[in-house]
Amino acid sequence: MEIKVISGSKTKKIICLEQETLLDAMKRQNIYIPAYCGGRGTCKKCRVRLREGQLPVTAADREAFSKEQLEDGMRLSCFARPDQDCTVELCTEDEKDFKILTSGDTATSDGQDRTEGPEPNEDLGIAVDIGTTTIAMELVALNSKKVLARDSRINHQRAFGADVISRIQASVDGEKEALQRSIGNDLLDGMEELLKQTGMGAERIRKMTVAANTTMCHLLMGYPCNTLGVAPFTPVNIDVIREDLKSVLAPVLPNRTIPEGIELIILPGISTYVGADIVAGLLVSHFYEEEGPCMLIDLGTNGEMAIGGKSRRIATSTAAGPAFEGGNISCGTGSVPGAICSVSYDKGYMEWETIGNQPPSGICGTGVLDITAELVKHDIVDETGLLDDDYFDLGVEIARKADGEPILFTQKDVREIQLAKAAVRAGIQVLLKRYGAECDQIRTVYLAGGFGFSLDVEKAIAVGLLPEGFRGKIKIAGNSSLEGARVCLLCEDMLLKARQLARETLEISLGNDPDFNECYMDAMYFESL
Amino acid sequence: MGMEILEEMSSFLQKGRAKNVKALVSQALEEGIDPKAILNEGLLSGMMVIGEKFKKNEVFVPEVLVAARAMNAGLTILEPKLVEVGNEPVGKVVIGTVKGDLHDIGKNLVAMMLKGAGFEVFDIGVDADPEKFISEAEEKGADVICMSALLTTTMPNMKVVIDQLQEKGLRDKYIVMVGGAPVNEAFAQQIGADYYTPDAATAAEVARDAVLAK
Repeated sequence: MEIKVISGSKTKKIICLEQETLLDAMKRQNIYIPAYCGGRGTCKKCRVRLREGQLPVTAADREAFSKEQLEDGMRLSCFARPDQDCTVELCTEDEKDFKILTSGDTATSDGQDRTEGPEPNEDLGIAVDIGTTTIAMELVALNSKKVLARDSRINHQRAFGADVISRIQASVDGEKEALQRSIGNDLLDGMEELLKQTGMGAERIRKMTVAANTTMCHLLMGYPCNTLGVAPFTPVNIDVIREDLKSVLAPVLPNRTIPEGIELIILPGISTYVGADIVAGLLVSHFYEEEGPCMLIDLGTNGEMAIGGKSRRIATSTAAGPAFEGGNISCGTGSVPGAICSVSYDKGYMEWETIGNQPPSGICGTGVLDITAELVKHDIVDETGLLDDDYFDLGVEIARKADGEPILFTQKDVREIQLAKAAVRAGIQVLLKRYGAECDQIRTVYLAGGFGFSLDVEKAIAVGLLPEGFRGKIKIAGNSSLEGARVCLLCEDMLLKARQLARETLEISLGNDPDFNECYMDAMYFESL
Repeated sequence: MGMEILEEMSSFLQKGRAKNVKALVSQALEEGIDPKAILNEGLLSGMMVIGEKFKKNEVFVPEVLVAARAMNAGLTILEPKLVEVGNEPVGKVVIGTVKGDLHDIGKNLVAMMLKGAGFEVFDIGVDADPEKFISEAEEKGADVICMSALLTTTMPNMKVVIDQLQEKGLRDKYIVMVGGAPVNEAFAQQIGADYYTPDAATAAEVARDAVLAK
């Protein structure tokens, strides 16, 4: 079957095989659209609109869409199996606008800022942070230590699922090479963009350092992921990895030009769920010389955190889920233009701001946090998380889209936030307890990651995501993973320090911890512990 | 006669007031109220209200857990008397989280709702071997096997249990139910489970109906 795929003003023809899903056909032909749930028909992110021809309505479509939407041509591409030629239109938000944090110390990272040029013929290196959703890269002059250019892009592996578990599953299900090819292409595309920006040649690049979570590192290296997804969650290799970039990527990218002589260096990790990105965070937060105790918290789908100082450290990860990234929220969205990112409630009115001051299209993670805090503060949500009777059935209207469709915050959304914030808070409480410290003794709390960068700390404390005792101690670390990769690029000694930090940090598992379960229940309420 | 005390018991249970529930169970027994009536109209009815509210998102996980704690407090006093009068549970359930998966909160919720629906529940914990599900079910004479998984990577282990039941010729002996965040109806059908339910309260209802229809 020949399928025409329309995206904005562009049209691409692809071939869909007998019994192949439309999503798989698109992936096979390099059209990567998000499929957060990994193609299980639940997230609706891979939806397309049928423009011409026929595309049978599946049971999953009936579950996902209203009658009107089905008549309008809405289909889930992960279940759609075309039986004749047709034309579909992609419905995904424009990826190019995704807000990605590229650096810890610059508030505005538009990917364009550039400092002075390097010395003539100076060796270059590339620092990379591979996030599950986004990739940030920097071209760095190795001698003068200048950042010459920055690039950020979507991790196209998200066509295989939004979170690490669905990526692991995809790898186990025979997509290992496809996943490695995807990240390989993204890295090479990023590299080419960095060189284009600066007008420099690839032959000057000597090394590329990568910090990422353990799953991303495994997928890049092409390691089997079978042991990552099941207890006891054993990684293949989380030590420092040094390989030739071309020999790693060439087997999956035989037709692509890959520059020679670039050493790929992957930072070490602590465990399968506390990876090199966290070690990078510990490194740039100077945990190796810090008397402590300090904490590092990375608020993502997996909330990773560590506590301690130079003499001892404990780390853990907690399954927060995607709510802080706008996932599983009825009108949730990523950090894209038009996403409601800041909200306050005054005299019965919601006042909001959107990213890029665009007309509102949905609510992103920080918006979700703000709304929850405001609803709790104004007793519209009670301490158990129950919405006021007036709003229980339909939810609270936050704003209206340009076409008049309301953007709502529902009872179910409050429950999602309760689960997410309780997982993080309980993780913090258990780490404090295992380390033997009280909240008040913590000297500095480093918040890493994109959500940590833009969240309103007071609101985070108000909903109980962070303890009161952290007030005044919080430092926004930004993309500390990228920064860690950069310092290791510039100084071999830092790589040794990273290795020592990784080896000498004890990981604890919360999975079956009775203290965790108790804290988790307590932290679900909206009140201070 | 004595209905008020049972209503009061049910309402304390819904609020999670374990001490009050315990005291009222003792008082009801002293007043000579039938232990079965105390169970059904005092404890289980309260748990059913909570289950209904949970399904509608009116109450959340913590409220279900404190209510269940109160129910258990009442049950510890009531159980010996129930044995004396020969009260039979609705059925017996073996429940666990499958091999490779350490999540237990969802599984615990289902276990509590099942208890609240009058089942005798045998919880084999997390990271449970397929053999353990089967040997426990055989040993306890269970009617239902409930499996939970929170990871797409461990879900396939549900099928392993079902396949082993099949091989041993025991598949038809048990009602097999599956649940957990990544599980859905299509997956349940694909692996040959009898029922998938999206939440703990529905699981208890479905299990009850299935056992009564058996």
